[in-house]
Amino acid sequence: MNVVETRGLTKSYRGKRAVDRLDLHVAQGDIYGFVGKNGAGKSTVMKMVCGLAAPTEGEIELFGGRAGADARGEAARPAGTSRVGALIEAPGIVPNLTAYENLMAKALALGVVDASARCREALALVGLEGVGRKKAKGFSLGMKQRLGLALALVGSPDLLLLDEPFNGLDPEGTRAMRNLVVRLNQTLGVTVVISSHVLDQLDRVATRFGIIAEGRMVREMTAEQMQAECGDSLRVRTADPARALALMEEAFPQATLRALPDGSLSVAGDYDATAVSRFLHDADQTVLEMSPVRRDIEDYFVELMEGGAQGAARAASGEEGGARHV
Amino acid sequence: MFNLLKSDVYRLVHGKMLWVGLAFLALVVVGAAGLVWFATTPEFAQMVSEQAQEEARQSGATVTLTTPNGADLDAEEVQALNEKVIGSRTYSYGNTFMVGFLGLILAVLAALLASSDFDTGFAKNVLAGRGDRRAYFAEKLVLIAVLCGVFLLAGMLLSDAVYAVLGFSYERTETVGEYGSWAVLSWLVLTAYAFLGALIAWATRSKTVGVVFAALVPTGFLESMVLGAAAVLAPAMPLVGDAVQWLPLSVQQRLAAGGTGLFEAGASAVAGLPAAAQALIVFGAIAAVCAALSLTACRRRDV
Repeated sequence: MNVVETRGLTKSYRGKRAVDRLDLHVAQGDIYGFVGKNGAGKSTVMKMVCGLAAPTEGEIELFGGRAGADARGEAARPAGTSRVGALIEAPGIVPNLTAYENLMAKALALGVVDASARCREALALVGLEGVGRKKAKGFSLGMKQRLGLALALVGSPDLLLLDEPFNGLDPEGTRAMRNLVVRLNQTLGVTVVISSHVLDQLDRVATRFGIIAEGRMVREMTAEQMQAECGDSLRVRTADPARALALMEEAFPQATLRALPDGSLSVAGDYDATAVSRFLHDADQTVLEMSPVRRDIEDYFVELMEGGAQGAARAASGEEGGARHV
Repeated sequence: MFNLLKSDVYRLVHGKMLWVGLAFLALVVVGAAGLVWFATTPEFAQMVSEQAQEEARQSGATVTLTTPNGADLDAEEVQALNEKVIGSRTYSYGNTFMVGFLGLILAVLAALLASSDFDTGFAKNVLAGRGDRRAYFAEKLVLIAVLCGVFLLAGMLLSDAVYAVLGFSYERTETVGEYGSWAVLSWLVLTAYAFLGALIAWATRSKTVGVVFAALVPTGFLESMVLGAAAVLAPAMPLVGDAVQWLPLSVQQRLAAGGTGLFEAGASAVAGLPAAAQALIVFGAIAAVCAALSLTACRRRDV
């Protein structure tokens, strides 16, 4: 079951589309890495999903409940938003209150039962139980991010939307935040959507990815698919690449095979280099070169985002462009 | 909505804004009562008399204390002027804190309350996951109306206490009806100004604009300029003279005269309505329009 599903989601500001017919699919139990450059539309999508902004067009389905933009542009919030916790842009902290008081203010607003105990639990969960009576205005950026996460957790949400949660965190804080997200997902079953441009952090936690460029969804894929496409691969150059490709596609159905522009072949995914070498030898293929290639995840995402941006530009000029949903 | 109200009360009690506002109110009430008390002391009378005689000596004239209608006053009558007597309780409230000051404080408080959730981003915490924003804005309006009542009540009680401690008595005692009506109408005046401050802050999403508005409108600064211009035009255009009596400041000034004349038909504009009816119409309309706009236009904006 999809916890979040958007169809043709669009948001325009003064005629300019910040989000353009975006289709997003987040399944229950996912840690969904939402990747895009600054200004790509990640925060706007998240705001629409949790009901802080009204879509101009399109539909949002949360936990199966549907809502869309109405004719007057009324902020039509999806049913099920009460099960959503969000940390979007800067954490919404009242500076003159302590961490505990901030949490209590939100817990009281939501009508949380046994608010005091729940707030202390949330503080302990994010590692802020020891801050005592220190006002939030005196917190470091990292502490504010953690308090923002604790605020998002008040009310025990089933879906957590985290917009750039690693911003301002030191390496230790980043690791703690990452571990916390995984723990929430694995022990409490919370579905998490994290937008970030810190790709190596996302790579370590996400089970599914969505890549957005200029407001459009470029690609959605699982972590396995991403690893297969962007992880280690084998570059093979043979005397007859077309024949070698056809033979290998038959022999290694689990692997991802691609013909590269320079005439060589790329073998990625589930493969064994020794088996490939032996197979080509047995098939009488002349191997000119065989070398392992490691592609950086960042390069991979940048490539996808830039491809998406070009697609969006083509679409804007009238050509067809679209997202691929896997 | 009740949960939101609990949350806001929690934040107000644990924050500074409420206490600073109440402290200002206390300062103004005590300060104003202190000045009134000083004006009744023989030292003050002596000071005024000496200053007048000094000015007269320099100009070569003689000084005689007179009543406003020009009659000479003897020593006994001058002594009577120093008695600690005020017109009525509501008159003392009206002249101590109601006109200008409390409207200013509450409009500033309302503007800060309305804008602070959006400035700090706390609104995102509350509105993310909330199906209907109407409850959020309605709760804020209720909170503002309650705060107006609290501040008015605090001002009235403090004023009574301070004047009692300073030994003042009241010339007239209002009936319960007059006293209650005056309090309700004053609450309406304050609530209307505070709603207006909140609406400006929500519409502009700017604390600064809200506070500037509070400094210019509820204090009567803008309206006194309009009144000044109207005074010039009134002899030639009698309608202008009538119309300005419907300005909020004019209505507020009638209220400040106290509760005893509240239901007397005045020489007021158009129908010569009593001050109570005029206040109900003018400030009731302002409060209703502000509430309607807050609950419709403001709630549709993205956070």
